[in-house]
Amino acid sequence: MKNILYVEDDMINALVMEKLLKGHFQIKHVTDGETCLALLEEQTFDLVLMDINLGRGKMDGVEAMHQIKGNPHTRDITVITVTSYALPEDEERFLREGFDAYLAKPVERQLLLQTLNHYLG
Amino acid sequence: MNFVREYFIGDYLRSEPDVLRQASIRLVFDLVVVSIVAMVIVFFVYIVKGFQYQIIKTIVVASAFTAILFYLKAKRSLVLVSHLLMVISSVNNIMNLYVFDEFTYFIALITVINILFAFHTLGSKAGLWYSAAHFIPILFHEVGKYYAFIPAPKAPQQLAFVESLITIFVVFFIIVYLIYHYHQAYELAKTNIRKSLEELRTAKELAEEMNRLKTNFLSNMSHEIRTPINGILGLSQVIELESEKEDIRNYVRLQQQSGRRLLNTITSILDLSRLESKRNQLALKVIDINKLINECILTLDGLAKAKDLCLSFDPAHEHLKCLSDETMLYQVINNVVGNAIKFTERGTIRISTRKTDDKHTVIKVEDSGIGISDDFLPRIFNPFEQESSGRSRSHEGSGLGLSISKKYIELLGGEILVRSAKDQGSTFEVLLPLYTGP
Repeated sequence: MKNILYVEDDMINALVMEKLLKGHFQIKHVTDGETCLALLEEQTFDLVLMDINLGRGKMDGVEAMHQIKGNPHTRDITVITVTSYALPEDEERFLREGFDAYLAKPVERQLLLQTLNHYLG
Repeated sequence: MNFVREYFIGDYLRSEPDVLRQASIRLVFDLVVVSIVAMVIVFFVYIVKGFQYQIIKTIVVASAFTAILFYLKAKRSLVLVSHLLMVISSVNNIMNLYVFDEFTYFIALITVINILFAFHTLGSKAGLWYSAAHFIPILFHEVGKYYAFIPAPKAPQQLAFVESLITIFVVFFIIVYLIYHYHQAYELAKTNIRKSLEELRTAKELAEEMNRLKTNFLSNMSHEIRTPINGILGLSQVIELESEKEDIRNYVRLQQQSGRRLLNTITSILDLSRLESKRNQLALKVIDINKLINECILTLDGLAKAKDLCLSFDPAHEHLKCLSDETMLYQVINNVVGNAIKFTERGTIRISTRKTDDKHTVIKVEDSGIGISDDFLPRIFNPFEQESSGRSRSHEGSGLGLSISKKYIELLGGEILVRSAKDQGSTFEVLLPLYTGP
């Protein structure tokens, strides 16, 4: 089973993701960017799902993604953003920043699985 | 001079908001005062040196000017005053030339004042013609004198030395004063324009800042709404997955439907409130209209198939390119076609594109659906309106789609039209300007 790292500060949304992916993927949840980067150094993950807003004053998802993509060890990992920033121009903005794909919250299970299978299948 | 000015036209100056006009009024007034003073001096010169007929003219003009000044204070109508002055001084000129047969410095003085009044009250173009016309009697007189068909002067007059000195001085003073005055007015106007520009820039920056704040606020609001909805809809999906009971699964499916509807309404409201800031940030590029419609049909075909509807597209043969914002135009087409599917139970939905003339194209969406009643048709683009509202509302949706579409299309320089009758289907036409560049 493929390993996914989910970075999300909201516990309920983390629970939702875990339950939606149960039986399809192994999911590990962390609440902030720093832990995510540290964990990526220790373990290997096949894909990172990244929230953008990770709490006030903390490293945001875009910054975390830039660090992942800037590190030679981790730069080949697919980073998909799952975010509530879902105004019409946001998708283009985040893809331009360097995310491999964009999913808006609320997530549709079907679309989520379809996207993940596309990158991990 | 200030005291006199204040006494005669103070109120008028204060009530006039335009600084340039204020300056002009002051100028005219000062010149009139200068002429009166000059004539009074000449008058005393005559008294000392003995009376001559020139004095008649001087008194006439001086009293006329004085009378006019009182009129000015009473009526406060500078335009009329200066017209009167022009008439009087023209008569004076003719009197000088034909009765006294002398081109005096007074004529020069009055001509200068006339020209000034003409520009001041008639405007630059008419003022030019009027000033030019002043030259005619003088020219006619001088030519006539040269060829001797002007009768001999009735009473030849020697200009007194003091009189000529005063008039030379007055004419000189007036010319210098004119230039000085207009230069000051010019400087004043320049400062004012610079100040207004500064104020405009500040206002614009403030407006932009407010717009940024608003955009930020809306973006945060959207974020804060979507985060909990993700919890609600996500858990609802989890329950649907994990529950063994069919009725529970059914309930949460309905819950998801409501949640999605709430989400659509919120998204639409945000779109509507962001229209203002959109105006400044249209992402314009050249778009192939037929291609965009094909993409749209691809996503909506499933919906049409589910209702067993036939969705057809008849594109124009030539390339239809327009300069537009792709996301917005796509949203409009998606909306109009989506509505056609939503409000049609059986039959067909026909989409077609045509060139209407060299510069415009039309996207036509015809359906065989429930149509729109005459009562409702004028309100169809109003926000939150649906033909069946309240509890009898049989169709999902916030009633915002068409009002957003209309606003979008107008921002993109186009137009959206509708033709329909109850139970006869509807036809929506989106008119767009074509891109004619390379």
